[in-house]
Amino acid sequence: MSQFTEAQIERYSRHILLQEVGGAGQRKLLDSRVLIVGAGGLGSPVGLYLAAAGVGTIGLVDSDFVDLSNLQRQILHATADVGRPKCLSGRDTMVALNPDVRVVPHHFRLTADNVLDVIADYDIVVDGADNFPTRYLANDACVIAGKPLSHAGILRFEGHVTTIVPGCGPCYRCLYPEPPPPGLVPSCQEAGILGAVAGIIGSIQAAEVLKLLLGIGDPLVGRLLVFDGLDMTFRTISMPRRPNCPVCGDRPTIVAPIDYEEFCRLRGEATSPSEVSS
Amino acid sequence: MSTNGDLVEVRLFGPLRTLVGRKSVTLPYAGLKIDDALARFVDDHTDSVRSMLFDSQGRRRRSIILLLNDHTVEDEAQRLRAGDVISVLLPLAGG
Repeated sequence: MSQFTEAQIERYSRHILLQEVGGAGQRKLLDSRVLIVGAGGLGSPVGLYLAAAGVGTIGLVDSDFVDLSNLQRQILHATADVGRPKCLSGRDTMVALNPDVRVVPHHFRLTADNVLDVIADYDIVVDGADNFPTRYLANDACVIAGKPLSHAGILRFEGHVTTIVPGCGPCYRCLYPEPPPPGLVPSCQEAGILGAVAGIIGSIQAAEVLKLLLGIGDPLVGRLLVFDGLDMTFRTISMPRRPNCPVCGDRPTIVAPIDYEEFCRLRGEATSPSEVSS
Repeated sequence: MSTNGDLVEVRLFGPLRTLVGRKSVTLPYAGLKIDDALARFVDDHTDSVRSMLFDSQGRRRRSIILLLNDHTVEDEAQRLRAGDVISVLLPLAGG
């Protein structure tokens, strides 16, 4: 405990009280590094809770700028931030909440060329992107690099969450080997999203990340949590790993990140992806 | 004409629910294989519903999760029984 300041002991006292966390767990969080892909509806609650929890280094990837239409759910950003890069606005909010935390803004899109270099600096990756190319890219890179990945997607009143730990369960491609056809799976920009649904699902991702960092509990590995906000129900579906998965299967054919926009276009993704989590 | 003895529930999620406008439909599909039941289902809906579930060659898309009674389908040749629940999930892009 001597390594904490008095202010830290007070700040993290409700964590330290938890037998499953304690001083050692809190120290582990302060020494941890998490990358959040997308500073939007999901990335906002994830970023806030990880910063509040004292995760020592948090990377925030987003190439987009804060728009007024984001503020209904993207609680990392405020009205005065409209027009600013999301990763900078997000950084300022997280550091204001907890100055113990170092936030590294990455103001660019993840691509097949940069993804492995970017994730190399982190222990865990959080997928809060808003498009299929980035989701497949994050999945493949994490499997290749052996990094745990918290995946979630939201639309209207629904949310899906799962935790991918390479070698321990299925990956995103095991769940969905191919992206859906052109224009038929709308974005939140097209179909809408209840802001609080992003908060619920992002908070689950934050809890999963903290559990993984602390090594406690049972993460959503091999399980897809499906949330219906209209019925207010959660259902958990067991999902197997596919032995013939091209990334995490027994004989992988994808051993380096590929051109995902091309992959998703060929397989039928219509809309041009923006890194924005909208 | 169906009887209660041949009804199967099809639960719809995400964009499919929006397209169909219902979260669940009950249809006389007992006795069918799951792919035949899905083919019958899309026959009664718009082309958008069909193209979400099947490609232009009529193969079931690999972008959906298909569940039978909340479990992934182990045996595709198995015939549906009355009271079975098929769930169709699509990935959600939003974040």
